[in-house]
Amino acid sequence: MAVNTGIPGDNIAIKVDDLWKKFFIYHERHQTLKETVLSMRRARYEEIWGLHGIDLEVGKGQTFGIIGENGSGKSTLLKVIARILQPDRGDVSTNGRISALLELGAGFHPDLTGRENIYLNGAILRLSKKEISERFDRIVDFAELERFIDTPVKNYSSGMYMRLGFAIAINVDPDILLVDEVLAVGDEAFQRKCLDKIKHFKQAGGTILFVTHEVDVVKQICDRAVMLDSGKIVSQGDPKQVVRDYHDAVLTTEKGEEGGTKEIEIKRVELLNDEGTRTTRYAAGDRMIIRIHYEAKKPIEDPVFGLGVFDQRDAKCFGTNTELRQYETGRVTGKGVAEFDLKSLSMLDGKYTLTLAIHSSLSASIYHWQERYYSFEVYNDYRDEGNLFIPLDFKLKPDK
Amino acid sequence: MLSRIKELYEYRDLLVTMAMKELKLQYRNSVLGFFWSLLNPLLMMLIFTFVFANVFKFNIKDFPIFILCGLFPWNFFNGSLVGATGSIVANSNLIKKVYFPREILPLASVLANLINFLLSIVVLFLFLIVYGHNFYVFIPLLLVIIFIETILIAGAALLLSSLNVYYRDIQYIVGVGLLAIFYATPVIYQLSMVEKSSLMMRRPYLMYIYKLNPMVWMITVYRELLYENRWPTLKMFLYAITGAVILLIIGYTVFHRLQPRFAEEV
Repeated sequence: MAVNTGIPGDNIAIKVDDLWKKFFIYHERHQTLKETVLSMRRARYEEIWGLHGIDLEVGKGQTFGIIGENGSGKSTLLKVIARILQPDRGDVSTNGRISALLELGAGFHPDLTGRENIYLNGAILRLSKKEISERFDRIVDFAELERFIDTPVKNYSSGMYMRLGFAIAINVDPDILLVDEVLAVGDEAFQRKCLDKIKHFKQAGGTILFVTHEVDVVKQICDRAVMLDSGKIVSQGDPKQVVRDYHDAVLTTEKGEEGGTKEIEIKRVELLNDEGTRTTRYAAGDRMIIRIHYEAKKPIEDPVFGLGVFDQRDAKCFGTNTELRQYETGRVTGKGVAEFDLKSLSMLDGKYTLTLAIHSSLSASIYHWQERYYSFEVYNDYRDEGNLFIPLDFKLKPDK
Repeated sequence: MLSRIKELYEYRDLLVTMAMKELKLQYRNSVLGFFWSLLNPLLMMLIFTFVFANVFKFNIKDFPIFILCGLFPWNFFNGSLVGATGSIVANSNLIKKVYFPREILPLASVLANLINFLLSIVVLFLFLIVYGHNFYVFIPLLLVIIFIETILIAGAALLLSSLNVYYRDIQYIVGVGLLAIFYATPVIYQLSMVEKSSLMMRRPYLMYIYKLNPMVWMITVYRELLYENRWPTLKMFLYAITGAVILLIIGYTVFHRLQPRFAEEV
């Protein structure tokens, strides 16, 4: 039950032992005394296990990534380690001072100045007044807020707010840093600066536990990683392998169906971005490469590769094949790779599913089809409205 | 339990910073600022003096002193509980994002009000000097009763702030409840007036219930020391200490029972 801060062994920074965490989902909630007194039965709720017997060991100096889809329990795990939530079963032991970057500037008071908030936030992160004073210049310098340090933070831009929050948390000089998605905010220059600082921290021997959607970052900076699904660890070890498992899991939908003679079979599918890295998240207008690893059991003449894209309501957005586009495929034997290079995804934000098929000319025989088998996500930076993303330029020419 | 107290001690800077924040924010953007915490009870004193000494003709000598000796300790109690009750719910963003001992939030409210109270005591001393009360020998005992009242308030603050996370009615009940306790405590009247009242004469059990309120003994001790300038009886002190310790134990126990799920409930 208890979360001890005992010492789990010299080389271990965080040890998680058979951790279970239960949540109550209330169907009718009593939040007033009257309701509790008047209703004869207890509040109705469902128990949901957010974490299902997690075991984890993070070595000192390791950068450890936790990935998983929304609701997989990765943030819950981080919060239990940070002692914000209490586990129902199991133990967490940590070795060293922890600083958590769960939300930058959590606890800032809008009416207090930057200076006052540094002292308040520092105290929340367990620094003494003296320790904060020692770090004060470093914090202000990193946040680039010299001129505004005596201004109430309610007048700060969101960027300034984030910078100050990060500057305080990182300058606590923790032994263990818990990071949750915080790098997804702020402008690009600031993100780079934070990432640099985290790399510094890593080089200095600090331990980092890192929860994120941006799996590429995990590949770049983590030594080890785990992937969670429904509160369980489903993959762990080398970050490259874990990220690959993640992509496969995210890419494959649950409602997909497949069939065909399998004379040519779709063995594996990868979705790539413009840089050739695997992803399932694209900005509107991005390039998407669909790479199909196929295997032909016997030589096939001129197979047709087809694809269809469906939106969330299962309406077809787009469909084509190599026959319609007049690509010759010739005689196909053995293993190989077929690639559709979609130059620009012309849809706005949403979740989309992908159908792939290999069949003979005019669909006389279908070798292998996978109906809405894969999924990907499109977001749009401009908040355009409608269904289509149309790249555009704009000019203004006033009459002289 | 001991490790909890040790941890609280390690976070003492946070407690002080939080309390100072509360004081700073309280009067930010007001012209008179901090003076309001003194001006407010003084104005109340003027009103009570006018109503009770001039309109109702209470025959109590040095009525302004009489009132202030009860009103300042009462305001410490009242202000702390009003502030503390909502403190955990109001700081939900912190509770959900950072770990620190959750007791800090209600206790910071108590500390902020204690600082206010100590300053008002200084002002009270000025009044006592002007009215020629000889209270100097009682100062050590005054510090003891302030300590006891702080324990009482801390217990109530822990109890109410944690219950309020689960039942938001508490903050409304506290408002009315404090008004009821105000009249059930000899702040604007003398304890002897209750003892001699015809209702209490007819129904003596009501007097027992009345005496269960530990604030009765707190205020009485303050008044013995500062207004009457005589030694309070041991019985008064024991009542006050017992009430304070019981409330602290209840408050602490309830708080720790409820605390593990704060982050999910706020």
